[in-house]
Amino acid sequence: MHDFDYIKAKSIDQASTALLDQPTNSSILAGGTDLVDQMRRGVKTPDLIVDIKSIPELQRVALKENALILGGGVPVSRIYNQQGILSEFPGLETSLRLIGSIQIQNRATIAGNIGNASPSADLVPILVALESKATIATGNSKREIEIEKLITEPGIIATEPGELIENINIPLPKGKSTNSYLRFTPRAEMDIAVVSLGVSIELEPDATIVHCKIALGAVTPKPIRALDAEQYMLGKRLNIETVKEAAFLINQSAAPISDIRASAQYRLELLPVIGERAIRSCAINLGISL
Amino acid sequence: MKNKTYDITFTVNNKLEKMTVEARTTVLSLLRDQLGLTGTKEGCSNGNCGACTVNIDGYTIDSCCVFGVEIEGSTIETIENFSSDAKNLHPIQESFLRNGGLQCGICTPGFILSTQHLLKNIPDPTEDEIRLWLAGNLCRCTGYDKIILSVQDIISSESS
Ligand SMILES: Cc1cc2nc3c(=O)[nH]c(=O)nc-3n(C[C@H](O)[C@H](O)[C@H](O)COP(=O)(O)OP(=O)(O)OC[C@H]3O[C@@H](n4cnc5c(N)ncnc54)[C@H](O)[C@@H]3O)c2cc1C
Ligand code: FES
Ligand code: FES
Repeated sequence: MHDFDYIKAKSIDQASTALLDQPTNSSILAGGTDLVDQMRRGVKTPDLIVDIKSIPELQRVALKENALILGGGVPVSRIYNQQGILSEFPGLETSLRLIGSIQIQNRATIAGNIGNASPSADLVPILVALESKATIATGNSKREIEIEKLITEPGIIATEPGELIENINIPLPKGKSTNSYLRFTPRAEMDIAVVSLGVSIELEPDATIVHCKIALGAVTPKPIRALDAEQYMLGKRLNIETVKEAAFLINQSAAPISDIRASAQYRLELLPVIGERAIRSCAINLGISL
Repeated sequence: MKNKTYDITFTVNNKLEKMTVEARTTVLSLLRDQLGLTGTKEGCSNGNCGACTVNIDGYTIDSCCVFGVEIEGSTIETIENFSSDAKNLHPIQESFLRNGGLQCGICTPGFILSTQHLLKNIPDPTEDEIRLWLAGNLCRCTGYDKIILSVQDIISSESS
């Protein structure tokens, strides 16, 4: 591996200043489960890496009245191990428990999953479906941006030099609502999604759908919502006809490529199946039998 | 050009270590090449095989994916902290031996660290839980069934 400098930042300001001093060739290091291998293969060759795991704000995990705040530097196993924190977010819990192995989950962070911006990243579709935002910070500024807008193309996020993801902010679902995440992989464990889908849904007491977000993974270069399917579901009762039709409409939003893991055709065959199952599992969560 | 180096202090197997490393030195290489703790193995070097599994501050990690400079102040446990006395093995080691949970042994240190972490978190795991918690460790020899059996046998011998 090439040689580089290392800074363990103790504050956002220190990290931000270090990144600005070396704007073209520095990299943030969280769990390193993406970055270290990319450096070993020479895909990335930063002269400076800034380790953000010791910044207190980035270690925060808090369930507030209207939002769940997950610090950018927290390994995913530290999140799902906190009793009750994910009870409103079954879909997010599923996605956190799917990343790599236990060893990887003991290290990998949400901010790293977003920062790596892989089209098959498992946390992204469900975060998008839950309308999550990232707090982007420098030493003296903060702004919020939807995860959907933050990821702009494979490997690229819309941050300026010196900015880092401080936390992810997920609004608490309201009323009779639930969410789910499903991916298809050829192997049960330690595999990368061929297609994936996150869904978040809210119903009236009579099962009329009043809120619905569906986000797709691994079928477009950047995160995308299945707007046709969402639109169709609004105002309908959550029943088997609605689910089948919505699942069929999901493909309108997908533009998959053929690659080593699957052909575009195969992805389009899989997506409605995964979509139907994900929406069905929302129904099960809400005690509705379809 | 002389590479920049970093002084780090950490605990390995209850022993305080102070050393000087380059930023690019992984924990795996630091343990094996600088401390001579060669029980931790290198398989894939990219986080997939788990041969390099060690426990850092109570959590198993793949030591090939972590830089030495990151572990300042940490407490590390490696396979050398178990037992090297064939007559007095750690219960997990003993069970792997008794049940044929290893052949060439390259994957074994990683499996033992992962098994210890599993049993600390779920003292009486189901077979599905065992398979899930050991999914980050690959074995080319045993076909896994005997590894699962080894883990189950620790549990039943401890409860009897
Ligand atoms: C064996 C293995 C299996 C895997 N399986 C899966 C899987 O099933 N699903 C999946 O989605 N991923 C998987 N991954 C990929 C990886 O583990 C995840 O993407 C993980 O979430 C990355 O987090 P990290 O903290 O390790 O990121 P790092 O490697 O530290 O960083 C990744 C990128 O994000 C940037 N970054 C990190 N933190 C911030 C921040 N706070 N602000 C701005 N940018 C930041 C970094 O600069 C870097 O470019 C796997 C990886 C391995 C090695
Ligand atoms: S050598 Fe580290 S996971 Fe394979
Ligand atoms: S015993 Fe040989 S790899 Fe597992």
